[in-house]
Amino acid sequence: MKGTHSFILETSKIRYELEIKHKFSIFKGASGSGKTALCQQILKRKKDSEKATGVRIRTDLKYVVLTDETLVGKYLEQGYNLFFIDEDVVEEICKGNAGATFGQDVKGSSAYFVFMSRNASLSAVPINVDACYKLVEEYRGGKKVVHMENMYVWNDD
Amino acid sequence: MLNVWINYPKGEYEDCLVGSPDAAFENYMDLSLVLTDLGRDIVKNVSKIAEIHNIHSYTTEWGYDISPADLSGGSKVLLLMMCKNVRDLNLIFNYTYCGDNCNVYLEKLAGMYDINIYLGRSYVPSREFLNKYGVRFVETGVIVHKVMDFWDQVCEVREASKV
Repeated sequence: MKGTHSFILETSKIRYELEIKHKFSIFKGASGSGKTALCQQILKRKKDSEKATGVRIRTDLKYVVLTDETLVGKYLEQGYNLFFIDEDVVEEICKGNAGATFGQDVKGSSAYFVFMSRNASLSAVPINVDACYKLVEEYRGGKKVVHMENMYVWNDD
Repeated sequence: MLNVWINYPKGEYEDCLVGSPDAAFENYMDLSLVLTDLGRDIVKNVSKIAEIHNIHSYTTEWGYDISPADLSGGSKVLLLMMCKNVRDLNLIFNYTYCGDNCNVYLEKLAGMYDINIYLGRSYVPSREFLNKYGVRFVETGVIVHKVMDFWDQVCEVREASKV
C-alpha cells in the first residue's frame, strides 16, 4: 500500500489522530505519553463491537496489535496491513539479531508497521529518521486528543 | 551506584533481567512507597497523575481515574527500583521502558542505591551525576566519571561484543 492513511481511535475520554505514511514507523518519546494505552484500546476494541466497547476506530486499513511476533506471517496472509507492535513484542523481535528475522518476514509486504519502542537495537529494520515520532497531547473539545509529531526536526540552516 | 549493562545480560544474569515491568510490578511492588515524596514525584511527573487518592487509586491530569496497574512503564520501573526487596534480588531493569523524563529519577535513585540497568536505548547520564557518583560498566568493571569516558566505554563494550 502506498500513500498516507488516517487512523482515528476515539473513546469517551480520548481521541488518537494518527497519520500512517511510512512502512515502518516508530513511536518513541516520554514515558506516560500514551503509546501502550493506544495498543490496549485497540485490543479492547478487537474483543467486542464498537457499541459494546465504546471504542470507535476509523481507518481504511485492516489493523491488528501484534502480540506475538511469530504470527506476523499469518496476519499478513489474512490481509492485515497495519500492525501496532508494543514494547514487549519489540523486545522479542530485537533479541539476537536486531530484528533481522522480522525484517525478512515482512520484506516484500505492503503493510505498515508501527513500533512503540525506544529500543536502540531495532537496527535491522530500516526506519527512516522522519518516521520517528512522539505522541503529543492537547485538550480539545472537552477531550484529550493525542496526535503524532516528528521526533527529529531538521532546520533548513 | 548505577551499574550499566550495554549488551543483553547473558548466562547467570539473564534471569535477573526484568524484560517487562508489568509482572514484576504486580508481584513485587510495595505500593506504600508511592506515598513517599519521591514516589509521589515519580507518579505525578512520569505518569501525569494529578492526584493520588490512596495507594490504589489515582486521577490523571486529564481527569481519568486509574489504578497502579495503569501507570506507565517508566513509572513502574522507577518505583520498582525504590523497593528494597526488589533491589535485594539484584534485578536488572530494562531501561528501554523509560523515557528521557525518567532520567532525573534514575539518577536520584542511583545516588541512593545500587541500581542495575540494561541500556537498551540511548542515554547519557548528566555531568553532575557522573561527577558525583560515576557509572559502572558491568561487562568491563570500569567506573567512569566523565561524559566522554562514558561514551568511550559504551563504544568499547559494543565493539568487544562483535568479536
